[in-house]
Amino acid sequence: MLFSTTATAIVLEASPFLLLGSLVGAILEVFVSEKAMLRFIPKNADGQVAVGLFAGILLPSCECGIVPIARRLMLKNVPPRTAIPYMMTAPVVNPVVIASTLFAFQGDLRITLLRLCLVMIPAVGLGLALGDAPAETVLRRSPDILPKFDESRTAGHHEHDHGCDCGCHEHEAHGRSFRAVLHHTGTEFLSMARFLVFGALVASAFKTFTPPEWLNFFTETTWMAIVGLMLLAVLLSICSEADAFVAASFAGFPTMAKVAFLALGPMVDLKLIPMFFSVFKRRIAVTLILVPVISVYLTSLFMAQAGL
Amino acid sequence: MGLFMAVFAWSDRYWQFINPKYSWLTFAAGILIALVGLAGYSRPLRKPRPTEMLSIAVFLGIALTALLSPNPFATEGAARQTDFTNDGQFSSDDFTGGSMTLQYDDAAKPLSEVVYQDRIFTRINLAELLNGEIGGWAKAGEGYAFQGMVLRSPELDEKGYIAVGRLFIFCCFADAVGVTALVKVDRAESYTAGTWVDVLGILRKDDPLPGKTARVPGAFSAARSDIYTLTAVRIKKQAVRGIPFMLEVRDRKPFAY
Repeated sequence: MLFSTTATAIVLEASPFLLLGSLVGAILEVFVSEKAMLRFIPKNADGQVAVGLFAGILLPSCECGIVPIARRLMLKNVPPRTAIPYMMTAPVVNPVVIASTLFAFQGDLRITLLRLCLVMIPAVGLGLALGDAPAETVLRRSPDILPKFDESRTAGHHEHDHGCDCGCHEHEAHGRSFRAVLHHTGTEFLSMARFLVFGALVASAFKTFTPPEWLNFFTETTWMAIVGLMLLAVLLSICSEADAFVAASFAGFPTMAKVAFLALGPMVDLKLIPMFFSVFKRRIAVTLILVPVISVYLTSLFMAQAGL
Repeated sequence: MGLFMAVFAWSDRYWQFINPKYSWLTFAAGILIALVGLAGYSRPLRKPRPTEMLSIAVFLGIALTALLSPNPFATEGAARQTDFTNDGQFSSDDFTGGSMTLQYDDAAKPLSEVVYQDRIFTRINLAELLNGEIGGWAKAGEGYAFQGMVLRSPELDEKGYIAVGRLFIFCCFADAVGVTALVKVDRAESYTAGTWVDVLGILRKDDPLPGKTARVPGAFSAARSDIYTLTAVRIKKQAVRGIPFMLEVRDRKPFAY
């Protein structure tokens, strides 16, 4: 009963955000030209990374919906040094997440800032490493092509076969665009939903069948505490808007272990891991998992040793 | 899937899975998913992959299992209490759940205080009480009334305490956090673990506190105060009043209880 309730809750909670991500991706695909998109991206590398880091404030997204958006951005030739940092930081620089973190930790700004810092470090690193690599070297395959909808031709344009000014083709073009958005959204949502369901099942199984007492094993030392809560962050796969309340309840764990929990979860969890392997090339997907794990661990340990 | 979500948002068991304040989101997402599904079905441009259809079927199967199984959070207790003081009665005894059709915070408006033996006890929920203890506005010597599930352990029994716990749900059940308070009682053995109770207690500072934090069923972790416990004035078994989860945390009266 707890297993089915938890799994159902995860899918129901995440579905709207996955749908939103798919919809935003579809709108970008159909209505936003590459030229318009690149107008917002600075020419220099540092500027591109910075835009990626902070774009999540204006275009927030939960981690459930961020992968489809990031893919669409790269297909519009947004460089990976913008799209990847955006993908990693958007679930955390999200104003709602910042507010919930502050609330859960009684207004402790230090926790919030440390969380942001621990997320931004691997985001910057990966962004700079991937640079402006072409989409085909980063992405596993293009999304399904919809041959009947030529979005670049119909988005904002209309063709008249007979030269009249009746506007009939204008309606047809807009209708096609609207249907294209719906089809893109549905295709993306359906494709990603299987990973959401899979992740929800595994996370629920962990939560239901693992005795919480095993966590006590990780309270012996600081480094074990950090490892333990990082592992928990991946296995519980909690939404970034609510994970602060869970982190705040871990009595007996040092602060930096809780911050590591908050930082890693939005970047790597059981929902995101299969999505990464579905969307990105294998070595990129592995990098997207390993780099945040190593970075968060080392940074947390260093900060804990430094007395933070 | 979309239709299931749209209909489920109106169900009186919605609260069991997701904080009812998000029922509008589930409904809207359900309608949109149904629309995109219809668009794809009417003019299919590619065949759905078997894994995609399987995942939807698995989700619907799991959801139906959860809905058809008995609700473990409507705990058994004594018959619904009717002999509270007049100040302690709820305005509605018929409220059962929260969703778009039942505005739970409108359906039951408990009075903000209970008067018992000429003493005032502020109605509060455990998360709010913990918030007050940490924030400093809940003070030793003050009386509080709260509800929750009895939790026991040999360590607590030995020291003469029970824990009273309740789940706090910010988004959904998967994110549930347990919140507990330690209550000093005469005989811990006389309280059955899992019973839903209403507690009137006096807040006090207690150092050191006994035992590890008791676990609340349904949550992986639980929070409690490091320095405060309560001395029981009255503990009564009762049926769950309203939703057994805590869904909001207020920082002033009237508290959510």
